[in-house]
Amino acid sequence: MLKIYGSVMSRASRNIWAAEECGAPYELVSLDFRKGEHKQPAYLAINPAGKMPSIVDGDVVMAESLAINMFIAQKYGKGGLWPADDKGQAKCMQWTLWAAAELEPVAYGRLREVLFKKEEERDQKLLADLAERGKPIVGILDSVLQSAPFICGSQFTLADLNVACVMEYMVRSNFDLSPWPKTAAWYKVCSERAGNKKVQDMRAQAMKAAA
Amino acid sequence: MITVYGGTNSRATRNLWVLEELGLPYEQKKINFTTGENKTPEFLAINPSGKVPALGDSDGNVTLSESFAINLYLAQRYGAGKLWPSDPAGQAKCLQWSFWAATEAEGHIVGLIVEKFFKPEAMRSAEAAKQFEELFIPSLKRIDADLAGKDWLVGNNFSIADLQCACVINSLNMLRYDFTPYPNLARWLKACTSRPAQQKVASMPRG
Repeated sequence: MLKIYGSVMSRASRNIWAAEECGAPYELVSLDFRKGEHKQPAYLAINPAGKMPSIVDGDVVMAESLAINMFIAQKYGKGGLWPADDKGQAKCMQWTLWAAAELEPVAYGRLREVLFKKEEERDQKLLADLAERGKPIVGILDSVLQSAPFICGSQFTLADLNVACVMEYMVRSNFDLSPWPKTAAWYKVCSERAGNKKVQDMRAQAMKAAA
Repeated sequence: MITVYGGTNSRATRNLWVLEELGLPYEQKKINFTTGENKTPEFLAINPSGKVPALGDSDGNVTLSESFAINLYLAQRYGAGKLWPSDPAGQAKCLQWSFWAATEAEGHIVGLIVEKFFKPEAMRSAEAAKQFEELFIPSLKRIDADLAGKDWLVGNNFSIADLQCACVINSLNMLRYDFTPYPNLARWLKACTSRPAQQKVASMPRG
């Protein structure tokens, strides 16, 4: 059984989304970072860096949210989230690394500013600089989405999921996608999938419980 | 046929390392940025970001970019039982370390190298350099601890996990970086970079 360690408020949400898309049975082992549960010996035995998320699945123990999604897709999503053809698989690897290396530093930079600070305390120059850096990056995705609804073509794959869950940070930090209509439409379709709706519901419940 | 796009002055070297490890036949095409060859429709069709490296594999009609992704592709497709472990637990660790190299290590290490090597001396900031270094020191400590009493990051053999991490950490040698506080890491890095495949790539003419 796939066990996902982390909070639905953390990057573990990406892994929940992937597991839901694959219909993989999984158990969420919630860790409350405000209580420091991710720094306790029980969790450090799984992930010595004490970062969320991690997974345990049989003798598989691993960290890094986007890498975990690649593992989940390869194991549970063959022919679906993980395309059957070499070309699609290569694209899934490329765009997953693209999401991690190109988009995430900009997207997380913006989200961190918005999520942890009151509006008047936010560094507006930093947010504007990151938005400028983000424009050509979003433009690259948009160029690919001109000819097909999804990154690999007609089917939603891991490439879309991993890019969309990072793009979510851009959207949550009020980055306006409207200059890229194809990307805006793609993001809407991705975020409205049942798997992601489930994640959003879990998040809403967690926030309600914390309030 | 496999085609690597990018010169030996780019991250293509890490892809060449994998190809040499696996003994695969390949051709290399250098892309001239000064003439805008990276922005031609032909190249943008291979990599919409217009960056090198990129890879073409006529077997399977595959093109892809992102250096770490190219290495994962080559390892999974051509390196079973060699760079790509046979067991799922080892495979998962290879994915994990590849992303670790891309997200936790590379950005900070490149930041330091730019600050201390590529910037004109008058523009360098000791404070900025220190900040970059502080961001990756915990990672060096972690790899050092992980390598205590063992030769390689995953299982008993050199794998794509070692290669992906070593090509990032080895770039610190441009700064004559002092690895003595990390003896296990230093021993491992030397073992990685002494491999014939890496030696061959290192001896290729730059450019």
